[in-house]
Parts: sequence; C-alpha cells; structure tokens
Amino acid sequence: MLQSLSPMVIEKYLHRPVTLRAEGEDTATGRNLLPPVISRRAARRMTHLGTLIARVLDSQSVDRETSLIYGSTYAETRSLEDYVDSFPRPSPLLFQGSIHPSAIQQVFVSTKFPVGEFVPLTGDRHLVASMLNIAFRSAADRAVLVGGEERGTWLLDHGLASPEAWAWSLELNSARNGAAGVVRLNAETDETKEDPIGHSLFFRTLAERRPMTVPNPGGGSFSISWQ
Amino acid sequence: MVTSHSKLEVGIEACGCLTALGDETQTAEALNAGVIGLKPVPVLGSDGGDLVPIALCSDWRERIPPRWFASADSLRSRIPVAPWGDPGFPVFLSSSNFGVGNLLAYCRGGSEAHLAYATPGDCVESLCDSFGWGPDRTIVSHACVSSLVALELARRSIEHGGAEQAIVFSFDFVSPFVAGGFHALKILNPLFPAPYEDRKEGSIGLGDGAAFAVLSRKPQENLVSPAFLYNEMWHFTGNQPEGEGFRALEPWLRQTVGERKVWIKGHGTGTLEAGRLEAESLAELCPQAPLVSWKGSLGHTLGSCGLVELAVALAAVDRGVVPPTVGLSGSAFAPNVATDSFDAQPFDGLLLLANAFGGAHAAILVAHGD
Repeated sequence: MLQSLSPMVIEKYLHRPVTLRAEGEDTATGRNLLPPVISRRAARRMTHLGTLIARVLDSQSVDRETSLIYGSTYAETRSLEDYVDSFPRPSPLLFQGSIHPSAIQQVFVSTKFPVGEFVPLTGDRHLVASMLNIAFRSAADRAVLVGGEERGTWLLDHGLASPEAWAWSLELNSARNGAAGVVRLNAETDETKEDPIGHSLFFRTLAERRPMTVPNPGGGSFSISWQ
Repeated sequence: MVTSHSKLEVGIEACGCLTALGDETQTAEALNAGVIGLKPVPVLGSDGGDLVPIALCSDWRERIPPRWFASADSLRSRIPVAPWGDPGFPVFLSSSNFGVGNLLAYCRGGSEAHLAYATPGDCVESLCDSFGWGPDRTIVSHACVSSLVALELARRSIEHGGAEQAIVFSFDFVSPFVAGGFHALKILNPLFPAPYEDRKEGSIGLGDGAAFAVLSRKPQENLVSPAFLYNEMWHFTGNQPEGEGFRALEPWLRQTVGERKVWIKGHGTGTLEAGRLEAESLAELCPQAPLVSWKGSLGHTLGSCGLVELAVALAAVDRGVVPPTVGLSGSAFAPNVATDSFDAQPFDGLLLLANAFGGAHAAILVAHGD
C-alpha cells in the first residue's frame, strides 16, 4: 500500500489535546460551565452534548481556513429520546436538536461564527480512522478534530447510547514547535492484525496520553505518540 | 471578472439513482413531461395527521427488513463491480436519516428487530455487510448537504489519498419521524411546493431517494470539481437575511467555473426566504445560467438530494434535454429561473447546489475535461 498512499501527507503534529469526562453531570450543570462567549440565552437551548463540545472547543481556534471534523457515534441521544417520546405531537425544537451535527451548530450558531469546511461523521469501529484520514487529505493546513457522546436513558437500556458523557478535541497541523504529539500514517502496517479503536476507547487513550495505533481500514495504520 | 478556470482531475465513472419516478433516466424523462411525484399523504403514516406532499418509492409502513433495504439493494445491482471497502476502493456513505424511522416504529409498538437499524453505524453495517463491502467506510451525516460532502471526501480520497476508485452511496427514505419533524417546523404543509415562486406561503415536499456515484482517477467524460463548502452558522433553520451565505460562493465560482457556460441545479426546496436568497444571488453571480429545481416533483430527498439530483442531471444531459423547474406556476423570484425544458448541448457543465440546517452550503461543478 505504500506506493498507492504516497500522495497523502504521512505525518501531522498534534496540538492542544483536550478531554472532558462528565460522569454524573446533568445538562443544567453543563450549561453553567459554558465558556462566557456563549450567552445565557443561547445556553438555555443547548443539549448536554452541545455544552460538552463548547467546553472542549474553547481551547481551540477555528477560522474560515480550518477544517472542522466532528465525530460522534450516537450524537444527540437525549434529544432523540425526547423527540420520539413527543409523538404524536412531535416537537420542532427536539427535531432540530436530534439532527446529527446539532452539537457543533449549537456552539457556532450561539456566536454566529461562520465555518468553512465542516465534516460531521458518525459510526464507531472506524470513526476515528475516518476522522484522521479526512484531516490528512484536507487542503487545509489546520484541522480541528472534535468528538463526544452524551449519556442515554432508555436508549442505553437497548445498547443504543453511550453509558457516559464525555468529549474531546485536538488540532492537527504541520507545526512541529509546541506540539504535544505526532500522528503518523504507517502505510506498511497490516491492519488485519489490529483491532479497530472505537470512539470511547480512543477517548480513554487520549485522556491518559498513552501512545496508540489506530488501524486504517484503507491500509496501514495511524500511530499517535506523545512528545 | 472571469479570466480562466481550474483544471478538474477526478472523473465520474458511473452514477445512478432511484426516486419515486424511477431510475435516473425515467426520472429525467418524467420531469421533462411535468410529472409530479409528490402525493398527499397523512404526515404520521398509519397514525394519520394532516395530508402533506411526499413522493414515495414504496408503501412507507416500517417493516423488517426496512423498506429502504430492497431499494438500496436494487441500486447496488447497478454499481460497477470492484472490491468496494477494501484498500484502494473506499466507500463513503451518507444520509440524514439512516434507519431512524425504525426507532420510532419500535416505540410505536413495533418489534425489537427494528432496533438493529436505529443507529447510523448499525444501519450502515447491516447494509454494507449485505452488499459484501469491506471495512473502509466513512459515514457522513450533515443533514441535507450530506451526499455532496461525501462526494467531496471521495474525490479527495482519489486526488490525495491514493485510491483508484471511490464510491459514494446515499439513501434517505421518508418516515413519520422526519415528516413529523418538518411538519412541526411548519414548512411541510398541505401546499405543494413551488420552488423559486414568489407567493404568499412557502412549502416543501419530502421524497424518497437513493443514489450512487463511482469516482475514478481514469479519464472520464464527466469530471467533478473540488466542492465549495461553507456553513453560515447564523441560525439553525434560517440564513443570513442579506444573503451573505449564498454570495460566499463567488470566489469559488470565479476560480472553478471561470469562463465555462453552465446551467444550475439549485437547492430550491420551496421555502420562501431561502428560495428568494438563492435565486437572487445566483441571478447576480451567474446571470446567464438557467436555474432549475426538481423538488416540486421529487420532493426534498434530504441528505441524499445532492447525489440523487446529480444522477438525474447527468441522465438529462445524456439525453440532451434539461428538465425545468417543476411546480412553479406564478412569477419567479429571478429572471434566470427556467420554467421550460432547455437544450443541454450549448453548456460546458452544470453547477449543483445543496443547502442544509445551520446555513450549510455545498456546491460542485461537473464538466467535461479540458
């Protein structure tokens, strides 16, 4: 695979990794912990996942030239649960809130801040590999990756939601100075020997700053090491 | 001031779709004949509710396997054979709904089997496993610009990722989950949509749609440009009132379209504010380019609309006649809105646009090679 992967950037530097674990936290508490740039009025409509994403993005810088890549397996679980429960009189607000990239939109709409490239992804087994592939293939030098999950209620009983609330963010770029780590695409790795890293395992490994290998189903693997 | 245009590198090897009017060729012919695929349907399905315009491929009662499964499989049978999902042949799947209608079906007394399709990941896994596709799958969910974002990611996988070919597969089948939501937002009402028409009340229709596109680095008749991607983030369901979001297209147009003579397949759902902003800004930016929307017949096929309408557009160009805006009977917001079919031959390419919640904009150019 090395030959066919050769046009792609094979190394990027990892900056400002942020992780947030919100065990036991409810939505109201999350709203109280929002960065001051988000008004109280906007905060009142934010979901728990929206508040978590706002808090982990507070350390990042996003402008029109940034590639913003969002990943979530279950996304707006609570809005989805409540929207379904609102039938036969479906709620317009919960419908809006249940749409996959709503958490990111809550943050940026609250400050009316336009974004150029925004790529919202979902899935689990290869979600992180997909996010890294997109960052490596983007024409933008800077990619901000952000992800998270909120804790479900009745969907959790069916294994269709996250058991915990958490979020993370980081930036990938070409600047070696000040980097916290490096992400390399290793084209020669046999990905069949590695288990996929799902979203929650990626979060835990990132939170502990442990090195990791993320199998790339397109060939090879991504390795993350810390400086 | 237009002086040149950028060279396109990635080609469209195959593209097909399924709508309430049939495959892409049948759909293009029906649109040229003025056929309206939308029909009045109770918004909550078997639970009743207001009659709203929806264009369905099949009876929309939820079942196991889901009704979109057979439709998606019939489309798959037309996809060129390749080791899809293996290294060098990535798969990009998109939808705004996936199998979420099955979740509502379960909650309304359906069997637990519905839950196997309730999350996007599980839904895609079941689909890809049945297709025999490998694990290199990227799942995009960006509401109604999903399929154009997926197309751009597929294009990059060839241009920058070393892929030989890439496939985009998108599907959105209407359920009471999504129809109920749009109805609650008061934009899905008993009126049939009339895209770009200056009238008192706006409306949209919803439609089933699925589509695929195979992109390739080998020379092809139709090439696809890098996409324009922009997100206003002004309001969840509205655009900046002066149309800045629509006019943000201008630098991309200048660089990508340049001197090419194009026609435009707009987003044109039938809502008043967005329809006016889109038509007026395109009339200003591309005054010579005819603008059409087909959502007055096909309905809004949501996250799949970009790819569905691309397949219909390519089939129309292949047959030489581009369908007009369908559903419009009064005066249009702008003079470039085409209300009659027109000859595709004089054009060098087509612009295809889509918009979504959050003020998301996506656009691509499809043109012949230089």
